[in-house]
Amino acid sequence: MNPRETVLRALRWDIAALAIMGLVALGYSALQAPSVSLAEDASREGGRPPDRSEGDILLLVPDSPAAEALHFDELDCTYAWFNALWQEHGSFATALTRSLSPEVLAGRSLVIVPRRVAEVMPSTGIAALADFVRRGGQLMLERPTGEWSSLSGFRPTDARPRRAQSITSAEGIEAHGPMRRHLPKVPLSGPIIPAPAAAAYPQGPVLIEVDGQPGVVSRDLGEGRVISTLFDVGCSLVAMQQGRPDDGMSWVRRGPGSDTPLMPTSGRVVDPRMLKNKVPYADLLERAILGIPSRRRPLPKLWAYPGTSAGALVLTHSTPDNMRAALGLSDWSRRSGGASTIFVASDRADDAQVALAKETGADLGLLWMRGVGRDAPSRSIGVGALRPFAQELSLEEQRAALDARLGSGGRAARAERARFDNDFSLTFEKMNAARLVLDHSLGPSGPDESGYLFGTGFPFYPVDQRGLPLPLVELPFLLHEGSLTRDLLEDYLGNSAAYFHQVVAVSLPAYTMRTSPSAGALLALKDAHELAREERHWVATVRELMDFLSARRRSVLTSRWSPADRRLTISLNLVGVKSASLPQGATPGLAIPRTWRGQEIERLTVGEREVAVSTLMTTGPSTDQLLALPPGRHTVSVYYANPEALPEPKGEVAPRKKSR
Amino acid sequence: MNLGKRQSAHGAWRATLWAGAAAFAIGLYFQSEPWLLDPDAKVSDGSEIAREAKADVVLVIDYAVVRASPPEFERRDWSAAWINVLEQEIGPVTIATPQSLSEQVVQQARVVILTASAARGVGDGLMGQLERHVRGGGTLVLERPRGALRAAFSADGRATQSRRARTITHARELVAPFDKELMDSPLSTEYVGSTGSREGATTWMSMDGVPVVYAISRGQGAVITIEFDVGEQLVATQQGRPKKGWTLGEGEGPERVEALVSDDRLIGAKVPYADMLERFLVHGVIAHYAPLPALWYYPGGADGVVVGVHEDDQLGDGAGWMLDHEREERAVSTLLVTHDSGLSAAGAATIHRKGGDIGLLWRLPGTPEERDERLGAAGFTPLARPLWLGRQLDLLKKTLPVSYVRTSRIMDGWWTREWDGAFRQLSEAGVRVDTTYQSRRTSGYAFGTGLPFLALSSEGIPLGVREMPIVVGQGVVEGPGLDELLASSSAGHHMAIAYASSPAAFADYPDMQSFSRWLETFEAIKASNHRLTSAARLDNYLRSRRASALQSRLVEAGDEQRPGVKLLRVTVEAKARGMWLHVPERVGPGAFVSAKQAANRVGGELVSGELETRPGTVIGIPRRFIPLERGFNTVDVTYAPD
Repeated sequence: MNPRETVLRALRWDIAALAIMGLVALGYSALQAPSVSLAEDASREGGRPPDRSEGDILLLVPDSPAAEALHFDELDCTYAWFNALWQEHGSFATALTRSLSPEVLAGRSLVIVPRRVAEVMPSTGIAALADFVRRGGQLMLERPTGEWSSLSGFRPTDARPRRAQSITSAEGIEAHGPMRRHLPKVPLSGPIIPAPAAAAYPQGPVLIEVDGQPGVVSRDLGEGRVISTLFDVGCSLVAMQQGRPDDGMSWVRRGPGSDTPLMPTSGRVVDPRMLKNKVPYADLLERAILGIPSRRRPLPKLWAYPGTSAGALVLTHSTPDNMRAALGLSDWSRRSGGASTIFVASDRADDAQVALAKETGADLGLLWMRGVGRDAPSRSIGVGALRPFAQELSLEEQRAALDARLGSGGRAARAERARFDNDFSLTFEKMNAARLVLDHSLGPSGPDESGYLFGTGFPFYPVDQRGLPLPLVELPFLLHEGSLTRDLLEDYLGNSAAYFHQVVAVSLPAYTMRTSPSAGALLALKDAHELAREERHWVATVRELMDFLSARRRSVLTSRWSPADRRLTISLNLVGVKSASLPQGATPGLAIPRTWRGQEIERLTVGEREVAVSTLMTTGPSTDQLLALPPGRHTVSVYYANPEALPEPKGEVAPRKKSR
Repeated sequence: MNLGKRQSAHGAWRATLWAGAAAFAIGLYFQSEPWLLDPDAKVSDGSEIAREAKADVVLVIDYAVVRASPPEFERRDWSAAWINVLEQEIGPVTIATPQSLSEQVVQQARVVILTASAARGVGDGLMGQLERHVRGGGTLVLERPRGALRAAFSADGRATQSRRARTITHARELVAPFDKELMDSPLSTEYVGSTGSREGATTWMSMDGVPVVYAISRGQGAVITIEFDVGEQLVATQQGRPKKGWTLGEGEGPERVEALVSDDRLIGAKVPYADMLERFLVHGVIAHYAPLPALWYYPGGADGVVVGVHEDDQLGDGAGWMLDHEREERAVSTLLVTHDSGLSAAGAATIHRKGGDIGLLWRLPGTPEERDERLGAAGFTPLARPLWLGRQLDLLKKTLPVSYVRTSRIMDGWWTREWDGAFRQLSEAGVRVDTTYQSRRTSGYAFGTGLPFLALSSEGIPLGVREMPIVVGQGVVEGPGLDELLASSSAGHHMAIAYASSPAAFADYPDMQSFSRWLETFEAIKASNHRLTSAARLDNYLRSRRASALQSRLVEAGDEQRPGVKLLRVTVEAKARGMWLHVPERVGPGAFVSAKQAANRVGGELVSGELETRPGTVIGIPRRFIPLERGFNTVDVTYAPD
């Protein structure tokens, strides 16, 4: 017999006992630290928003979705126009291309045909639009080619198409001030149709010059005119707002952390210069383009903010751990006469803290935990007290858990540490699947990053890889804990009041004073409400802003223009919502073009009531005058001065507020 | 037979198997719960300070008598406490022992102070020198003299040898409200009574109705006798009173530092009682007979300073955020961090570059804040030893751009069980200023002072470390507010007010109202002519002040047309920028007229420039403030009868 076998045999019970003890120890260890499975989040693509039939402006959208883009250049950017109109005008109509008919066009002042619609527009559609123009309408075409030349009036050269780089002149739209200064810095995306050089408007057709060639041209036709953008306005806007991915609709990442599946949202910026950027380039581009038709026919707008507010200030505090610090911050907002928004992890909000948060007037949203700063919320799996496994909660489950705690739907969310999947639209699609309606994750993340990284402070609808908008809005934040100072906040609010009219969203996480403490952040928070009041900014929570934007979209604005008597008649049906900082509620104001052909508003009535023109607020760029109205139906008549009837000017003209 | 052999062989295998398993289990246990060794703390025994300075005052201490004094707090000789009194109130001072005291030193001094240790019995030679010193116009101060000195200069001292004092009942020439404040001082001293007063003596202070400070004139000079134990009073108030056996409590481990407060009335005190007594003795009594110049306590002639102290054990590099804002307010402060706070070398360098002073927040072994060092080899570390002070300092220094740490504070208000245990360790480790002393819930001068004082060992020997109590702590809920303390300081107490605020206080709950109050302190500090500075900068300034030279002579400068005019000629070597001098506003019947820089020869002519001065007070005693240039200054201060 082998002696070795004899020893093992003799000690088999001892070894078995030790093995059992070892297994017990291992089991105990497993109970102490259960094995965790990662969450699997569902995703849902975007869809076409329901059509609206009311509005002076009609946006034509494709009849069918585009194929999924594998490269950014393949992306259908039609809905960037939707975003632009939603942001700038508020009230506009949409229609499928196949629905185009004289009935649909009746009463419109402006029809916008995005690139993908232009590419597939049938001849009958082009003819209908030509008729619309000849009878006084304005038509805006994006990158028109082929048959459109009969309308647009220009023929491309045979040169090879190139990529648009930047605006080189805006003489044709008489841009001045910050618009003139900053438009050349707007990063453009997509190709530009090569066209021969021409003179600037009004001597020639060129309204905006891009890379030394015509970029936007105008052609009078009949009583109307056709405005053609030779570069891709929509994709330029999408690239700025949502990022321009590399091949495969994701980003090539380098450096520390590049091997992790998540990336900071600031990694999506279209141009590294925009990582520290005080100018909302996307909004400037939108305003430059959408402001063109108003020169021919004054186009009133639903102002983007309540009444005559110059902008909005949104303060948010995300808290992955306990809510105590967030409550301290939101309590200050309450004491200052406003309210803030807390994004809380679903497993950290208990009943007492939720009640306290409600006492401070704070709005609660979901902080989507993804295991970046700490373990994501999970549920244990096992039997009775033996639960050696755990499953991370998906976004949907985290939202449901928070909803259960709040007793209502938490519709806004923020991704932990502003980390997104390395994909053009996947994170938004996951949020869509979880039935969230607002995300607040795009913004700066490094200490040297701040401002309009995504070209806007205003919310926008992100699009999926087919170009369809997701039914949730993205509200970018401009300042965060790493860069926030009182001076910077004052600067942003001041610039917003003076020219940009933005939502200045500040992300000050509850852990700020632990991870990157600074007196500047607290100084900014301390004075934020006062600064906002000084600069006529509405202090809103995320929920209030969402509700307001929804009400604005539900509001209706249509107008009739009578050039003969220089009268603009505006019909309004305004919807308002409640706001903690606005006792009278938040109802969108009415923005009326300040001048028509150089003549200012002479007289204004609301129904039968005369309103002194001197009481109207003027927007920063002096393009519009703002009128605050209560919710309900209104008819506003605006009379522009007739130069022939005007006496010689006397006295001085009051200087207008300059942008900073 | 074979079976038995096999069983025996298997038994050995079995024993080996189970022994191995047991060793493995024990090893695992100690790896997670290591065996704790005692800390290896190094302590200092202190050093006998003797210094020959260019100064008006000679302090005489007999360290042999100090060491030989009985080892109970009340009976210990605390003569060395006088060092702090004079260095704090005047600046430079000569410290001599009876053995080193020469006639030349005595004759050059304007004031000779014989502490209780040195005033026991003097030889005939020294007695003669002192007699000549006094008759020649000098001032002699005797603390509880004995023998020939008592017989020659003081009352008989026969009523009692040791009566515990209850209250101060009289303080001569002290104006309201300072007179009442001084008389409210909690006492921890004993005094010597006499059967009768010394003939011709002027009583300056009484305790329980008994004269305890009185002076007689002798020749052109004066002799001041102090009959109470100044040292015990000051040490008990400032450094605290130990329990029996020089401990803080009955327990075995560390105690809360509040246990050192000698009298409950000191908790929340708005008055720095120890400093009041010191200033009354020096500027009220001694300067009455020997009009002494002194170097002002603070740079730039500020009425006081606020010493900003921030402590942190969790924010790492972020802990400097308060310093950043203070820098914008043109101020600096001290950041005390634990060795494991997360402060990086880059973060420390940034703070240092901005003028911040980084000190150690000491995790005292035996407290919940203790951190242990694992000991072992190759990853197996079954032993652990608490990190003692020196090791914590070494670890902190590794992140600092300098090779020293000058300031410290024990974390969370603990103190060693031994009364002087922490000071001994700090002294051995080379720390200069500690800021542990504080009443955690109540602001105020719980230790009778806001200025750093020299710590003494239980043998009465100076340790090389100074304690600067925190006057307004982080999160105090009772006691005078900073505004009130600043106002009181400006009005005459001229204090250093250590103000603690924790950068992490806003981490878990950013209380904006607290933040606003913190911002308001900067305005309050400026409005009250105080400066916000760091413990290290204040200590450096005070060291320079002590190392400066300050000598004066009072001479008659009158003539027939201007009788009674006196000139106080002050020679100063100012070792720091921004130093100010202060001199009595009056000398006898003469009032301050002018202060001039001594004559310089300019273009063949002697030119003396008049200096811009300003009046002020120290606990209500009128003084005149004169700015100095760095380096040598000769200032002629003229007094003339009203």
